[in-house]
Amino acid sequence: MEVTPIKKHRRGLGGLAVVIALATAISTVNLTQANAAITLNTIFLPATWGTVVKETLAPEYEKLTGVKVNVQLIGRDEIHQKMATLFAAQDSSYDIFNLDYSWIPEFGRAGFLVPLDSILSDADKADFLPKALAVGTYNKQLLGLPQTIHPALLWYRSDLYNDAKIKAQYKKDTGTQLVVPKTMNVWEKQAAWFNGKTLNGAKVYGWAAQAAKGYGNVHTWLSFAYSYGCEPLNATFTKSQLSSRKCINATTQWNKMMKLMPPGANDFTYDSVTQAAQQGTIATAIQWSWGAFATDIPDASKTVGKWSFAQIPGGDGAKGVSHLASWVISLSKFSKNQDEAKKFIAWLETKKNDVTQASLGGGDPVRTSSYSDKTLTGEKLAGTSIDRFRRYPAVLLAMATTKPRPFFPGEEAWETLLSTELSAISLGQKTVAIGSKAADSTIDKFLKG
Amino acid sequence: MRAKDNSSEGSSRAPKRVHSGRYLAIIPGVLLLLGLSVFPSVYALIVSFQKWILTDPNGRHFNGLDNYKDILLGSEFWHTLKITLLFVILTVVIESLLAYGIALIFFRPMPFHRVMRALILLPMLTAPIVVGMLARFMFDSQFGIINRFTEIIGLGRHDFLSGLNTAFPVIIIVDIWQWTPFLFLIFLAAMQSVPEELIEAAKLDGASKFEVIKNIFLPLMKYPLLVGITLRLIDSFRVYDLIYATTRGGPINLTSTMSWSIYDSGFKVLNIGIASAYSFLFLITVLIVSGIFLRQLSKENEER
Amino acid sequence: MSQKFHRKPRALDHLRFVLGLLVTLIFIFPVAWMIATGFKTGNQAFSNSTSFFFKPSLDNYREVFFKSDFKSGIMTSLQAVSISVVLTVCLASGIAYPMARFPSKGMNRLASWIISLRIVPPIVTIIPLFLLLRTVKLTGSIWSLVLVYTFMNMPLAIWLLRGFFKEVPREIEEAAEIDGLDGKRIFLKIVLPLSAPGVVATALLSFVFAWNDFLFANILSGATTRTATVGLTEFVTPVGTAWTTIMAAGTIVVIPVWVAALFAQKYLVRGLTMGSVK
Repeated sequence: MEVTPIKKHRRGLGGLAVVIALATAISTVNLTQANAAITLNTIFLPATWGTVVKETLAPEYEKLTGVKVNVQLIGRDEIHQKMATLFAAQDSSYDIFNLDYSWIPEFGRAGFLVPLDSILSDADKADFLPKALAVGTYNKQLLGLPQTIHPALLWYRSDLYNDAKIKAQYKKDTGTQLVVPKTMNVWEKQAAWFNGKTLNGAKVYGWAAQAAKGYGNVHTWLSFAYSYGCEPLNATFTKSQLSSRKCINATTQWNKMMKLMPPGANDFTYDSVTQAAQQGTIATAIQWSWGAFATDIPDASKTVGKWSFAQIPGGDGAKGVSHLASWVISLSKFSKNQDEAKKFIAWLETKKNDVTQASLGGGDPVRTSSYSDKTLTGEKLAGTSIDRFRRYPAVLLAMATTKPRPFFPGEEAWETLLSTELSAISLGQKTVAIGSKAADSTIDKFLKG
Repeated sequence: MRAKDNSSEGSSRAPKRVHSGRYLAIIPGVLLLLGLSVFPSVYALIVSFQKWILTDPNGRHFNGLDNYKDILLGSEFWHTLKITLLFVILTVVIESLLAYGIALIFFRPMPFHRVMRALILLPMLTAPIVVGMLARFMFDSQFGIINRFTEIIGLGRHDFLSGLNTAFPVIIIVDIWQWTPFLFLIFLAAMQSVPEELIEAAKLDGASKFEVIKNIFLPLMKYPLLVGITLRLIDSFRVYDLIYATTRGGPINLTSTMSWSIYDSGFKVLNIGIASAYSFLFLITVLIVSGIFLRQLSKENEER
Repeated sequence: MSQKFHRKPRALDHLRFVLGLLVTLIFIFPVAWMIATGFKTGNQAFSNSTSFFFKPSLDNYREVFFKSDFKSGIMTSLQAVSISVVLTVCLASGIAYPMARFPSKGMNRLASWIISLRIVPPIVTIIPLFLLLRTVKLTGSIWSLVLVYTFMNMPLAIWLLRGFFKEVPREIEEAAEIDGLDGKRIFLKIVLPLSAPGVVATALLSFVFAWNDFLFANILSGATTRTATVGLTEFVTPVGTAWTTIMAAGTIVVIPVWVAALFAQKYLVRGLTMGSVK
C-alpha cells in the first residue's frame, strides 16, 4: 500500500471535526436549557393511559402550575429493568414511574417507593375501587396510586351471537342454543364450532388471547386458573401448587382452548389479539376490558360496535373469576422533588381527571363514581346509538370478584419461570402433568432460594 | 504475539536513544483499559460468590460456591451452552462458505461491481437491533412478507419466530444475512492480494480452476481466512440484540443463548450473583473456543 | 488490482454477473423493504396483498420527529458516540504508536492483553461495568456511555492503528529525527498525516460500532441519555407495535452509518481488512 499525503484526506478529517464540533455545541445548549424551573421526569407505559398523560394532562398541568412534566413512554419489561437498575444506582433522574402493580411488593419491600397515603382524603379512599387500592398497597402502605384497572373479560361478537342464521345452524349442529357461555365447557364447544368456519363471508377462529412467552401466556392462563379455583401458590408464597387437581384442570382446559386460536397463536401478544379482533377473524376472546376501545376505531377496525363483553366462564362448577390487571403511579424514594411529584400524582387521579382520562381514550377509571358519570355513560360511538363505554357494567361486575397475580416480591421471576413451562405445554413439548410438575419444581427451588 | 519478528526488527531498526516520552503517551489509554476491566472483573468475581438480588433489602452476603453449583447442576446452563455453541458453529461455518463463494463471484471485475459490493456491505453496517426488529417484522406470522413468499411458492404460512422447529434456524439465517458480508469483504481482499503471476503461471502449467483454488488460493489465504473466521467467531458469541428484538429466548427456551440467559438472570430476575457467576462461565467457554483459533493464528503469524 | 482484465469465456462472465446481481438483491432486499415500509401507512403495510407499489406517505417520519422523543435519542447518540470516537482515537494512538515503533517484550505482552479484551463478550462486561458506574454514580449520565464506548472500541482501534503506523516508512521518521524533531512532533507532524487514511478508517469503525450499540445503552441510559437504538424500542409497546414507525425510525438510525460508509468506503474496507490482509 503506497503512502498517501494528507491532502487527499482533508475532507474526511474535516467532516469528522465538523460533526464533533456540532455535537459538542448541541450538548452545551441542552445543558443550559435543563435548569429552567422544576421538572418532573416520569416514565409511563406507552399504552393509551400513558399517551394521554404525555399529550394532554402533562402540558395542562404545566399551564396550571408552571411545573414541567417530562413524560417518557417505555415498554413494560423495560420499565421494570430500568427501575431496578436505576434504584440500585440510587439514581434520582426519574421521579415518577408507571408500574404494573405486581412490582409493588418487589420495590416496596426494598423501600424504593414513597408512601402515598397522605395524598388521598378519606372520601377519595372510599371512592376508589377497593381492589384497585389493594394492589397498590404493600405492608399497609399505599405505594402506588391506581391509574387504571382492566380485569380480563370474555369478549364475544354480538353480530355473530345474535345472527338468526348462525344461531339456527349452531342449534342444528350441536342441539344447544348459541348463548353467551357461562361455563368453560360451553365456551369450548362454541369456540370449536366457530373455529375455521366461514361466516358472513369471513373466516373465523374460535377465540384469541395473549399467548406469547413472557407475561402473555401467564396472564391469560391466570384467568383459567382462577376460574377453576386454582391457587398457583400457597398463601405464604412458599410453595407452588400447579400439580393440584384444580390447577391441572385449569391448565388442561387452557391447553385445549389454545388449539382453537388462529394460526400463529403461540406468539400472540396483546397487539395480535387486538388486530384479530379488529379484523373480525375471531368469534370470542379473553382480553383486557380496556382494550375494547381499539375495536371501535373506524379507521382500523372492521368490527366497530360489534364486540360485547361478559364475565370469564366458570370451570368445574366454580364461578368465573377474572385475572386483574392494573397500572399504578409510584414515586421514587430517590426523587429530589417528592412534594411536587406527590401533587402531580394526586392531580392525575382526581375525580375530574379520572373521568377525563377515560374520556380521552386512556385507561378505564379507578373510581367507583366515575363508572356512573354521565359524561362517560352518555357517550355514543360517532354516528351510532351504540354506547362507547358499553363494557363498564361488565367491568364493574368483574371487579367484584377479580383476583390479582400472586402479590409477593418474587412475582416477576415467578412469571418468567411459569411462562417457560406453559409455553412448553402449549407447544406440545410437555404434557400438562409433566409441565406442571416441572414448573412446580423450578418454582419451589426459586421460592426457597 | 509476534515475538520472533519483533525482537529482530527491534534490534536492527529501533533508534539507540531511549525516550521516556514514548511510554508516557501509553499511560492514559492503559489506565482507562485497566480501570474499566480489572477493577470491575475483580468486583464481579467477588459478587459471583455472593447471594445478591438487586431488590432484596437484606443486601448481599457470601454464599461460597452456591451460585456456580446452582448453575452447573441445573439443566438450563447446559442447554444454553448447547444452543450457543450450535449457533456459533453453524453461523461461522455457513457464513465462511457463503462468503468464499460470493468472493469468487466478485473476484474479477464486472459491470457495476463496485456498486454491488457497496450494497452488499449494507447489512453488516446496520445496527443489530434494527436488523432484529426488521426480522421480526418480516417473519411475522400475520403480515410478514416472508410468509407471503412461502405462501406463493406453496409452503404455506408458518409461525417462524415461535415455531419449535423454525425459531432457531430463522435466528441463524438472519445472522448469516447480516454477517456474511463481513467475511466476504475480508476474503475478497485476501483473494485480490494473491499475486496475479502465480495464477497465470499455474494456468500455463495446465492447472484446472479447482486446482488453482486449492493449491494457490487456499494456502496463500490461510492467514486472512483464519483472522476473519476468528473475528466472526468472537462476535458470534455476542448475539444478543437480535434475540432481544425477535424471540427473547423463546419458544420455550430454544433460542436462549448464554448471552440472553445472563441478561435474563441479571436484569429481569435481578439476580446479580447468579448472573456474575454465569458470566464467568460464559467467558471461560468463549476463551476455550476462541483460544483454539487464536493459538493457530499466532502460530501462522510466526511462520509468516 | 489494476491489470486483472483478461478475456474469458463470455458465458461465464454473464453467469457471474447474474449471480452477483442475485446475491446483491438478497442482501439489500430486507433493508429496501424496511425503507419502503417506513413510507407506508399502517393499512398499506398490513393489508393482505403484498404492496410493492403504494403512495408514499411521510406520516411515520412526522411521528418520529415531532411526536416522539426519538430525536433526543439521536442527539444523545451523536454526542456520546462522537466524544467517544475522539477519545478512542487519541488514547489508542498513544498506545499504538509506541507499540508499532518501539516493539519490545513488554509491549507485545501489553498488545496481547489488549487484544484479549476484544474477546470478552459485552454481556460479560456489562454487569461489572454497571456495578462500577453505579459506585461512581455515573449511570444515567452521558459520560457512562462515552467511557463504555471508548473502552469497547479501544482494543480494535489499537490493533488497527498499530498496523497503520507500522506502514509509515521508518526512513522518513529517522530523517526527521536527524533534523532534530522530538518524538511528539514526529508523531504529530509526520506519522499522523501520513497515516491519515488509517486514522479515518479507525475513527469510522469506532463510530459504527458505538452508534450501533444497544446492549450497553439499554442498561446504562437514564432519563436524558436514551440513545437512538434504545429509542427505537419505544415504538414496541405492550399494546401495539407501530411497525411502520419503527421502520422509519430504523431507517433514520442506519442512514448516518450508511452515508458515512458510502463516502469513506475505501477507508472502511481498509479498516475491516486491516490485519487480515497485507
